[in-house]
Amino acid sequence: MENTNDAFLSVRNLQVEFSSGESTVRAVNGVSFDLKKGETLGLVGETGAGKTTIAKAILRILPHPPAHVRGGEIWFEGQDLMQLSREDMRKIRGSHISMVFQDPMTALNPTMRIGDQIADGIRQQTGCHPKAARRQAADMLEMVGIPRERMREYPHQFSGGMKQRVVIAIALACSPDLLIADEPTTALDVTIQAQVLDLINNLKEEKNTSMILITHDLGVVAETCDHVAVVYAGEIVESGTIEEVFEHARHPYTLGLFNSLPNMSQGKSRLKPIFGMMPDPTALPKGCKFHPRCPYATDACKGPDIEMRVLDGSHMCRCCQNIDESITQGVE
Amino acid sequence: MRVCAEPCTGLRFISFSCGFCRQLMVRYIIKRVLMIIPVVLLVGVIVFTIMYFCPGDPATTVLGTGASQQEIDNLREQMGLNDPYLVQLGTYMYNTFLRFDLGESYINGVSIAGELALRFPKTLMLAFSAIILEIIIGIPLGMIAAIHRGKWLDNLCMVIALLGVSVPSFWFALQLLLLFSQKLSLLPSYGVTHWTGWILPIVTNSLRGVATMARQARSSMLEVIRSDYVVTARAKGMTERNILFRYALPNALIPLIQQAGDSFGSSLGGTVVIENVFSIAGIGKYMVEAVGGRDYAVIRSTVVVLSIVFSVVMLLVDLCFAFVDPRIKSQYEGGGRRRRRWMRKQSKEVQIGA
Repeated sequence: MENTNDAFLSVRNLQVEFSSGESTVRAVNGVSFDLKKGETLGLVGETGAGKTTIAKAILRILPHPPAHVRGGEIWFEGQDLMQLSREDMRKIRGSHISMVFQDPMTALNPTMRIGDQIADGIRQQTGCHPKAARRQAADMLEMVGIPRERMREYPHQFSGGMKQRVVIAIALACSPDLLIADEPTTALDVTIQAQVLDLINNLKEEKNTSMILITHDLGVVAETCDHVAVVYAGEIVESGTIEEVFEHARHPYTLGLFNSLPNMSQGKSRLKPIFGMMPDPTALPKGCKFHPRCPYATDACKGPDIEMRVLDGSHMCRCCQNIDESITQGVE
Repeated sequence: MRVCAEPCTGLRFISFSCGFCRQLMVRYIIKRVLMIIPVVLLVGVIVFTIMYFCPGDPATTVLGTGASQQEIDNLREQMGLNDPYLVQLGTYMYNTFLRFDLGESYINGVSIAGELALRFPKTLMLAFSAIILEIIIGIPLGMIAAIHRGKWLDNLCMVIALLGVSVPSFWFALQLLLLFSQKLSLLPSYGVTHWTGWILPIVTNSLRGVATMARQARSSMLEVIRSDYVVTARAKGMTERNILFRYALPNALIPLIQQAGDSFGSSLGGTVVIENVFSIAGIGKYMVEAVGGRDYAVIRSTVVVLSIVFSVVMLLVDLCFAFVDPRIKSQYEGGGRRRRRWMRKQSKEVQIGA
């Protein structure tokens, strides 16, 4: 984490707000993380934790009137994306960083043939001949497992899983260096989920693409990611490699997430949910954002904002309590 | 366009046997054109029935109030007004739809068909120019407002549009006349003998439609600009120009086509006022005069002809839908597919039977 310079993507103290009328929603509050070339980072957290906002802020495609990036730097291959001109940023989208969206049903233009939707991005970024772009688009379609003859069809002629494949084909059409996959499997059937994940993984390995995988499925994270960052109320509360976080979780929220997973091997009849709700983003609690729901909270948690603490190696945790495994065993 | 490989007439025409007619979209168009026939027939029956039950006697209208009772009775017998309702309706429908004879005006005895042929182009000119202005002024105005949402350009466009919607067209027409004809003497105040005469009527008649279209275009565009597929397009690095014309506009047009079709109807109606203010001898003026003089024959024929025009325009609107939105196109073609499956099943059953 400390060697910022050789990181391929490095987000520093990102802050995003949504303003609507008088109230301001602080969606992302000082998020920092690094990603190396070819690695996969999993962003996990509840709905509304700010995962998608982080992703869209990296691509600078947040809807501008409500959303404001209040501060932070996003270093990508040696340049700060926040400082780029609109035109330079546009050239980065698609060719260097691209994104797979959450809902395949609405992510495709209903009035345009899918082949053209893939070819459009290729033409825009490479400036090649329309015919060449179309040929490349057909190749992309075949790569995601759709026969190339179907490129003349419209989105309404495809099923949800196939639409998501098309969205992936669009995202990968220009061989980006970084792929942001925003809950790519949430809207899909369980049987299709595995296929889509395999597809993303294979393509990623083929092209040595880095990836940020946004999900709330911890199983998916364990299977596909190298690193994981747990997001709660617009902050990263715990981050590290898969082993560090999954085997030695230290933040009460992460522990709560794992406890609320059904575990077949232990034969328990009841899950342990995290009680309470996500805090109101217009009025976040002081200190640790998780303290109202935390079973270990003391007065220290309600004081000043909690800093990120390095535990060992790349494992970091935003908790002022010294919670080790012995305590967690006791609670379980 | 492909030409029919074999002549298809009569029953073969309807059964779509030749290659050209087997194209799904062509089938749909033929089906829709055929559907206009019952609509127009029904309009004919309804208009005739309403006029039949209206108070007033056509024979008196024709002869004037000075005629003797004997003369009126003779004419009633001659015009078939003493026949039962069904016989009169049958005669009317036969004359109108099979012999294409619209009859003569009760008041001056002039052939209605001839009169309509003279007047119709003027009314159509007014109505179609309104649609065209809506498309080339209203839609861009709404798009500009949507792109600059919340800024002064948006506010300016929307204030103009709001004025356009709320100003009554007869008042606006009079103000234009006062300014351009009376004060500045730039444009003629009545008649369309010279092209300059068209300017004021066209501006007045299309004002409301253009304003409504601008407001619709703005809201439709705003909705589309926020949609997920526009974000996808942005994420793949499309330029804003490309996003606007290739992704946003085609989708924003879908509800606007409906709007354009609807406003054709209202601008056909609006010509009644405009033609009277500017003394243009069009259908609207003809109808107002016919209503005033209880000239039922003229009213009946005009309504039937207008209903044909309106049906054709609605068909064009639906075809535009299919052109812009592939989902609707496949719906239209879906009907054909079902029919083909049914036909295949039928022929299979025949084979099994044999």
